[in-house]
Amino acid sequence: MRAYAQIARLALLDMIAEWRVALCLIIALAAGVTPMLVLFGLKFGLIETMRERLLQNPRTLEIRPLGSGQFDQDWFARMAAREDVSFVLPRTRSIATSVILTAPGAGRGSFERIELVPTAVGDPLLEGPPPGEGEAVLSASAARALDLAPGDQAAIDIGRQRDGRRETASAAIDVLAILPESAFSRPAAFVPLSLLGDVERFRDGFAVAGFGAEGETPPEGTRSYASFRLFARDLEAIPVLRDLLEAEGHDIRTRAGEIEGVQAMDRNLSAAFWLIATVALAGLTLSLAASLWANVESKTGALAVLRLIGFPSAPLAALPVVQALVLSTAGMLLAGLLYLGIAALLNARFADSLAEGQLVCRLELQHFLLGFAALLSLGLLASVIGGVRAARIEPGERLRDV
Amino acid sequence: MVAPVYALKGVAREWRSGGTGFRLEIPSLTIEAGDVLAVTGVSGSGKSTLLDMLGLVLRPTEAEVFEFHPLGGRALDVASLWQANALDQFTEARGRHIGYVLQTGALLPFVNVRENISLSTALLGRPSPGWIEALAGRLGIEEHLNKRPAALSVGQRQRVAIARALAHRPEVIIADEPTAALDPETAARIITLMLELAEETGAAMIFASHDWEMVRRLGLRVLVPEVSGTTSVLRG
Repeated sequence: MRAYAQIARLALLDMIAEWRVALCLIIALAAGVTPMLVLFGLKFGLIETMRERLLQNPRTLEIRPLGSGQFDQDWFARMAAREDVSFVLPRTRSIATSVILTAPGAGRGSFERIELVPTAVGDPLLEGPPPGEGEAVLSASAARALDLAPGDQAAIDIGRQRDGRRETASAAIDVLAILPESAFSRPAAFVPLSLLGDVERFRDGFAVAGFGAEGETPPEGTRSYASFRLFARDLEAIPVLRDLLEAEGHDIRTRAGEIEGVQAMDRNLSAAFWLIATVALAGLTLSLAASLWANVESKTGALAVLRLIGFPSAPLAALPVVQALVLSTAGMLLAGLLYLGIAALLNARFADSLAEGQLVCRLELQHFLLGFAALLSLGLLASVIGGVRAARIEPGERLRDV
Repeated sequence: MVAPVYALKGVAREWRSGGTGFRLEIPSLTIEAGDVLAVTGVSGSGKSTLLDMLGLVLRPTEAEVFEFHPLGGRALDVASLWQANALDQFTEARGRHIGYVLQTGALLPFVNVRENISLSTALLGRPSPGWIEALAGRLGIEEHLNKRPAALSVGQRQRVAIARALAHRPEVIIADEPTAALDPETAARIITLMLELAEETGAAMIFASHDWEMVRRLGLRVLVPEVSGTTSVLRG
């Protein structure tokens, strides 16, 4: 152990004495590593930014039907049971979704035509608990139009023509929460499905007890719905569900194209990155190995002296290894600093086209650690070859050239 | 009776390069503790070969008996250890018991004089700064302890090398033409100093020199290889 400590000390003293050589090696290492960090940072930053842009918006995972169809309880049960579906809920015909929102506190004539959206537990667009009976979660634009805040009272008014007469019904709602702008841009109120069912029956001219409205008795039996709200579990599930629904003959719209675009770009950039990285790594390995080898060769005399004085071969072999470790660490630190500077420049340059918190060039700590580990292993490999050479130096060898 | 430090019988080393060869034969050689032995003779007569074999850094090509028995250390059967290629045992023995002075200092250029002299004691974990100061004082290099070797003259560097060889109080001091690079006066002074230090520490000293006159003046036991053709015979 003593011999190792001595050798480590001598290795450091040697590098301090020959700091110009050490500096050159460190700069050479950093020159090889920095472009790789920037390249990988760009690749990672671009892809992550695009993925995040998609994923930040919960609607990315939504699969929306075009037009209306016929979806019965069995269909909903089947979809709800699927692993790759995170949320599915029936939706009524569009005739039943358009209502007037009023706020009692607001001035006369203050009303907003909004859309009713059915919701339930697990709705990806909601951040809190779903609204219960007599409650609603408003979209940002709906809340803004009537200056409503959570806890306020509001009402929805529904009109219909029955037997040539105009009738209206009204339902009081408590504002439970307001959605962020990005979740839903149009004026809307998220309410329990039962309210939409009532509105649909009311518009169809049936009697609705909840609204105190008279009319024909609604037909008995299981009902089917014209539409649905459906969210996939993750990006990968979207193409699967799209194919399934299209095979059932439904016209749907997804963001699969955008997602596949990002995924394809990720694959292509990854391939390009690894191609460049492989070439660069091979060059870096060779130059590193050559530099460290030359470093050991220039130490042959000193190693022979140490051998003569009585240092065993294993600690002697550690001398180039210690130096390689120090050089690799310093090279990585320098490369990291250079990378941070370049990344800051790139990110500043592209700041205009990016949203808050998005970066075109970025790496996470684990990437640095991975790069550091790779560089250390390379340095170790190259220096161990030199170290073995150092350990094999015959004690008498080159002694007289020192 | 104490065993001799070195006991050699039928030891030889051959060099071959291209068509020419060279052979050093040592039919028999015994060196006791505290002995002082000068090896002299023309260049190429095998002086360095003998010293390197005694210093356990050069493999003999033949060895009937080759024993190294430092005082206070265990005996090494050098002949069979070379066969077993037990280089680290030799390394350890050198570190503990042998101080080697080369023709040119062979100092580490990247550490200062004090560090150079302290290498062996640091390796053994026996730092003795007082002794190193004293040695440096005796050798007249105490004001250079904090300088790098490059800042010293050849003679000063040689004295640093001698201090380094003596720092761990070895039982054996081997010096290969330690004064070859020095003027005759300095050379004589340094050899005398080495002899004094060897006597004080009780070390055996074997040194090579081509300066027959000086060796004769000092009245030492002298070995002169007998060269005939490509063979050199060293009778102890």
